[in-house]
Amino acid sequence: MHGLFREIVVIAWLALMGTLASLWLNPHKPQPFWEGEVSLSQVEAWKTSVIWIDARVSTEYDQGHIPGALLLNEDKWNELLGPVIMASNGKTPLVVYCDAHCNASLSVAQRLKKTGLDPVYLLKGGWESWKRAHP
Amino acid sequence: MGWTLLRWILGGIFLSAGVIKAWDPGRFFMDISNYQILPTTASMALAWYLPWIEIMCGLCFFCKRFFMGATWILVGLMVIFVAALCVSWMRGLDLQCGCFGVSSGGSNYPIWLMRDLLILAGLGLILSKKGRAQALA
Repeated sequence: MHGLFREIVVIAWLALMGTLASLWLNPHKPQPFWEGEVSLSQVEAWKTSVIWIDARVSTEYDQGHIPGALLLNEDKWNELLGPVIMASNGKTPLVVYCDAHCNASLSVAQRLKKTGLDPVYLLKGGWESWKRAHP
Repeated sequence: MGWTLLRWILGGIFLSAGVIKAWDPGRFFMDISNYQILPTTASMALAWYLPWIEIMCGLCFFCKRFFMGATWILVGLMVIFVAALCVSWMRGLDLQCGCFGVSSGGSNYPIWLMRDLLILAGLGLILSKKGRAQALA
């Protein structure tokens, strides 16, 4: 029993060392907080054109999306990124959305930022908020 | 031979799952967050630490060092995973499993649970008296 406990402690310790090394080296650091979250009413108050980015899977996109929205999800990132880059001009805000309770938009927004596109925002409430406002 | 194969398969599963998640903890963090069980800080800590636990346990399965400790850790983890999946299924959450860091487009609880229970059964076999002796032979 004592030997088993010692083994568990050693593994936990080695894992901690790996974690610390990873924290130091890993380029994909988690960013849990997103400051650029905007509500639909805020976006509509901007009175400027916006590039909508739909971060859901293509089947959901096909069933309905914000008019003019470009599909971009992590499943087909390389395939779908081209049209987004073409549409982006460095000034027009990119507003990413998914469903109401999902993190796909956060993930896509972070990757867009890393790609160098700017400004990037998240739509609070996602597709559900759009549907409520435009029944 | 069969026991060694089982040990290698289980080791490979956890090693690959750990490496994929350790490579992109940001993504794994989001998968954990989707379960809506843990606070943000705990999810963040888990996103960094859990993959390395899996990697270390996977390696222990291959090199036969600290084998029983690794097996018990993985049994504990799998029980927690199964419980988390059951709770999320009951709550009707639409999420990504986060098991192998690959998004699959939608929730598939029955498949995920079946896979986890199979892995748990494999670990249970190894913990059996015969398994312990044979897997380390």
